[in-house]
Amino acid sequence: MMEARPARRTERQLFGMPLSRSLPIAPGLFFLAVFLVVPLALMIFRSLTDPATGSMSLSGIETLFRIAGYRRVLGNTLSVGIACAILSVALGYPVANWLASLDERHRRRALFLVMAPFWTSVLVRSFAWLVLLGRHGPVATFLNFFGLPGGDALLFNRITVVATMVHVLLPMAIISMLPTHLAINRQLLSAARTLGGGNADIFWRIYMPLSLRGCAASGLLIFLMALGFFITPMLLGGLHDVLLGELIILQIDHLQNWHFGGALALVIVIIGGLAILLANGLFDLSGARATLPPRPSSIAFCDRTAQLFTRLGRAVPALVPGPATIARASSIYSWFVIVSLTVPLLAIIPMAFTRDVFLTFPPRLGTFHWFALYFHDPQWVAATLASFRIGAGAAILSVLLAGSAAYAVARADGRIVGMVILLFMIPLAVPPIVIALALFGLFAKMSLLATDLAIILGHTVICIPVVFTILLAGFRSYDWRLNQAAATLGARTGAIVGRVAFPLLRSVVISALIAGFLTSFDELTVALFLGGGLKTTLPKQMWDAILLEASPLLAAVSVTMMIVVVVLFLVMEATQKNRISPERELTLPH
Amino acid sequence: MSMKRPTRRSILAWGASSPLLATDLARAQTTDRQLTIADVGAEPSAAMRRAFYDPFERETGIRINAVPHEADPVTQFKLMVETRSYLWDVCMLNSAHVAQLEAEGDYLGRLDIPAADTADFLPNMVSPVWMGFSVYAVMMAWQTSHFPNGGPKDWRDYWDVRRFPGRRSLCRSPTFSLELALLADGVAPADLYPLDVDRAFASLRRIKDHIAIWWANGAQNTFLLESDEVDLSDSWSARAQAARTAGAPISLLWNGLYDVDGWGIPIGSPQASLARTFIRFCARADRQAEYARHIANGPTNRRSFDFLTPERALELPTAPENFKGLTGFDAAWWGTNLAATSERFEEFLLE
Repeated sequence: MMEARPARRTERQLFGMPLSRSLPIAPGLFFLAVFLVVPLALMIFRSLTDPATGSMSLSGIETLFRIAGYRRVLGNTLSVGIACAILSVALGYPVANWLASLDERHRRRALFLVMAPFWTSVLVRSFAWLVLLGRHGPVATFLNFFGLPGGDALLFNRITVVATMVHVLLPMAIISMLPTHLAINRQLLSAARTLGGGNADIFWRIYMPLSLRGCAASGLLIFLMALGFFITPMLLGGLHDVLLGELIILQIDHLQNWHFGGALALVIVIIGGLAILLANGLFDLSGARATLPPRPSSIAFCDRTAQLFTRLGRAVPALVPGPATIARASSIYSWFVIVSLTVPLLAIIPMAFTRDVFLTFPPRLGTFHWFALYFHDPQWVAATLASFRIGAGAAILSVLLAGSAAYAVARADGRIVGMVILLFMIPLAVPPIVIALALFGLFAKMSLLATDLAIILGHTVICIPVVFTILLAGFRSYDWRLNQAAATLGARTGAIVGRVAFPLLRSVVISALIAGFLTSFDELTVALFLGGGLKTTLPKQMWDAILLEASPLLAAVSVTMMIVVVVLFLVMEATQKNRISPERELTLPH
Repeated sequence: MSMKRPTRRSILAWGASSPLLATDLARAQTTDRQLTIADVGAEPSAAMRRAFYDPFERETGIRINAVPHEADPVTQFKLMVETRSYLWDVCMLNSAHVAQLEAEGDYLGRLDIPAADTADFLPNMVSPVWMGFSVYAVMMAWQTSHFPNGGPKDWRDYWDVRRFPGRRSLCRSPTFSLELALLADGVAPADLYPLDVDRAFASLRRIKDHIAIWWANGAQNTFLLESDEVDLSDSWSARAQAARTAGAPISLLWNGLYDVDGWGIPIGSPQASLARTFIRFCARADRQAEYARHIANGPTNRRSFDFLTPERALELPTAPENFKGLTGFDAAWWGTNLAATSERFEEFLLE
């Protein structure tokens, strides 16, 4: 929303806006340039330079394509990534649709249930799967009880890898599709119904085309995230399910082959870039403003599907459910998804109280021993404190950088705005493992490795898109005319910010801080590389523990982490409750 | 408690024989210094805390700050020396790490341990830049109940999937796996090195499709054995023993290889002299015995067995009965062949 105040024409321009308006964007962009673009360029340069001779060499990439085994890893990575993207979007679509139909308060609560699993350590979840799907685990026991085969082969195969990865990625798919579903004007649907449209017509001709871009963007995001996965396939996959991320870790961590490791990271970046171009070509993502019509090809596809379903519905009338049935089915399905996302995590809780010395299910309950061990071990305590410190640092830094940019973008308009938003989303397109690898090279030169600052900077890069999105949405819904009104009434800038803008935007800022904190709190890869093995965060300490001894102590740590997440959510919820929406403020009688 | 007397007596005797140490101790006590030691973390670290760190703190007043390092600390070690940022004063390194560091340049500082300190050590447990204090075996473990008529007797039996059917796992690393493959192919332990790599891969090719899980880290190995996820596997002595102690009904076969963990210091470290003092402390028979009491790794000092019960000795790799079935890991051979062999191993697995 533009302010009415006329900009001085003589002012210098930046990003197509007057300098004073666009200047807040600069620090964030500068930060991303220094801590993402430059290190990536350095990494690419290094991976294209022969380590022995220093001359240009494509030998790393050549190795990847020459050796059949590595080619297969590349194939695995692509097929697992595509499978994850399609499954996550397909499974998440009805949930996003259902969430969009809820009122705000219920939506927020349901969203928490969807997102809570996302903040639970991937490491611990993988180990929980090992326990639950083991050949003596509860699922195998269940299958054996009913005389079903396959109980002893649940682990170490492709299906398990994809299923557990989707379990990790589904919340992200849902939350990334949600804004699209929310933006669809539901009155269009009733208008269509009034005009005699059937369910299939309404869904495939109206709803689907309007949500298609959101699906595509979400699928792309999931694919990009899946490209860098290494924990899940490493612990739950067999030899036929090795992914590129695992190969990078192996090359760097065990073989110290930075040249080849860098080349593999470069390949991930290239695949990611191609996927973005392809998705953009097919679905016109960069013009992702609902004002532009989707491309004709996708419309034609939706049309054909609508016809198919309409014809199918005429042929078999029983197949056409009424709106009420659909609503009920989508709510039941969504709750089913939420429960399936949560239950395997709840299995971790009793494991933290086991009297056994190893992780088993069902556990023999009855001890706080593992918690005592956790809270009395100086290493674990130090790692926990470091995670809090680093999380707070990354949250504050990313809110400052992304916040000032979002403030400028929210009040501006035009094509340049879309560009700026895309620039702030770039970190999402680069898997954390690649960011970590690139930053390692930069920080080694700056002697910053193994410092809190290094990890904070790395986490800030990863936090920026998340924090930016939240703040931009919040700032856009804020009525900037309130500032003018206050100014007209004689308030100074300080008073406007302190007494008008901040109280109204507080909950948004707190949400952004918490999201930033949680993103950092759960992040392993950056800490793994930039900590240099000397600075340990909680996920890094858990990673070490999982490599050395997977005791119920891990479950105790996970339960503690879950408590932190729940507490932060309650804080967020409390600030939301006190929030006075601008509309209500304006309609108050006084 | 019973350890107190020998400890004190030996530290006195040892202090008297070493003026260097006495001055070190004096300086350390007056300046309230601390040493940062990078070890492998987890259970071994806890054992070292009780056997080495805490007693050393008590006797010298020097605080020990232990940090865990990666499974492979070589990258970090080199980085530290190259950037001259000495975050670790002492680092736990196995013989392969030492060989790799020595092959790639000058990274390890001299230890200058008097010969008398290590007179009772097993052969090849010390070098000018490294002192071994913990021997581990790569051996076989199998689920006792799965083989009621007696389990495999050697690695040839492990490869014999017809006589010994069952779900198998093996370490996803060329080191040791190649040696085990050669033993399974009938190579005599004394003739293992230099490894016949082609023969080893041919042997691995025969078993590859029968390996359900290639375990990549120690915790996974323990977990697979404890949860009865596999019927037979290679394992590390301390891990297999820990799983047994925790109640997993597995049998161990003292047939395979051994390697040694020890201490090294980064070259140019400002804390080198204090670090040497600590390392010499870890050469003592009573300290190593205490360590072996808490974790089933073998002491390198033969006199340590004087402090251990015969029952415990039987669970340790360096007890003479167990040690005779084990062959020393040749880190020097691996130092020059690791990169190429690892690449080939990875490619072989992914084929």
